[in-house]
Amino acid sequence: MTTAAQDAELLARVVDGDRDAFNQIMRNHEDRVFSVCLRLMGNRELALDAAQETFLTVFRKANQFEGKAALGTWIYRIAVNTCYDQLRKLKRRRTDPIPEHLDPTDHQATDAVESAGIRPEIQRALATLPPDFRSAVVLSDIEGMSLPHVAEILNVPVGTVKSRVFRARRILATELGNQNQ
Amino acid sequence: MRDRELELIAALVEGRLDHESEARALIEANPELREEYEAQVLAFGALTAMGSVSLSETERSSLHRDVWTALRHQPAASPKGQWYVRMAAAAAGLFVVVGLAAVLSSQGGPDDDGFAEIAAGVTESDASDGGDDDDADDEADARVFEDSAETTVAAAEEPAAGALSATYFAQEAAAVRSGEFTSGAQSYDDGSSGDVGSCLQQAGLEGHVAIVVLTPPPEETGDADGESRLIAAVPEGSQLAEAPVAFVDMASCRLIHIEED
Repeated sequence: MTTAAQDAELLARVVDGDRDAFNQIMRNHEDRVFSVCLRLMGNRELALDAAQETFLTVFRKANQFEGKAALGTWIYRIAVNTCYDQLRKLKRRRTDPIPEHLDPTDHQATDAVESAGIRPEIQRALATLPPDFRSAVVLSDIEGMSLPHVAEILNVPVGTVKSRVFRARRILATELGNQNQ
Repeated sequence: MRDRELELIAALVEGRLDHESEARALIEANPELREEYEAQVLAFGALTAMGSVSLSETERSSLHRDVWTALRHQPAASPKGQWYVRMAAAAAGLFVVVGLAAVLSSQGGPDDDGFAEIAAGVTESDASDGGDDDDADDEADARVFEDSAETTVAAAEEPAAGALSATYFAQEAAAVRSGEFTSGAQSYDDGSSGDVGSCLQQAGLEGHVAIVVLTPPPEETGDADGESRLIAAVPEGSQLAEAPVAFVDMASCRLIHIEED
């Protein structure tokens, strides 16, 4: 059986209420979903939350998977969108009138850098990128996915991905240069 | 720089060129291209060195536990063709929420003792009428139905907050109770500042304090703009860790959900 056929069968079993099938989907994709979320969110705890929300969405929307893309592509797309949503939510929380006086300092930004693990200066530079650029370089350069695959996940043309990756690297290089000064 | 040159630099950086000598010669001959190439090499090298990461075993266990806890009471996704089943369930849920909102508004708002008291107040009010004044009861019933009809129209225009899932409310309520949105001595907002305080009053939640203004993810609300906002509030003086959490839609200042501990 092909991977696509296996994916379709797994999803069909999830829709039918087979929780073992959902467990298998989680096992197959959880590390990469977490990795992508970690690089986008910049913090292991937030990444874990985003990964959890991603799989809850996968479960809830299993009946909407049309099989046009590979299951992994669909799941990573959900992961990226979930991270975008959570980043927006965090940003709003930090600027809303009530949370503002409750948490005047941005501990999350500090934690993000410290807990990301590898090369904090790069994680810090990544955090300066617009989310669209960040997701493109995370999937392409960090996760090592092909440009067409990244384009499929982000649902944009390959040319757009190339442009975002190129410009993101340029911004990163500047940021890294500034940090070294 | 032209697109072709940029593409050449990217291909060289990523090692996609079969014959690199021509590209290298071009870059060496042009300081602007060389600078761009060096920047790309620096960033690409730094990014690829980061590499993919895995969950620790603790994180993996936590992920599985939390996902299954959230899914425990959630049925599997329905087959896509049965959209009318989901619509019927959503309509039933909306009916309940609208009914609750109408009853609460007809009571003139809850007292200070929390949500249990709201429910008790409704029952006591009915019982205390004692059936002595049927005309007054009829008028009150009519008012409730009128209010209910108005609420239904308003709710139909604001599908975003009404579309939120039980999981969402449970997670946000848990976050409120965990103190995620509060810190130190200043753990409660006084609920009286600007829109938030008046919105709580309009929702019939005098005696409650706002803990946070939430922005539900568009994926939850179906609101593409992501502009839906909810006030999460608890009864004043209650133990935060055990408090019932009320969610009020900021657009309509309507109580849309109460998450009991």
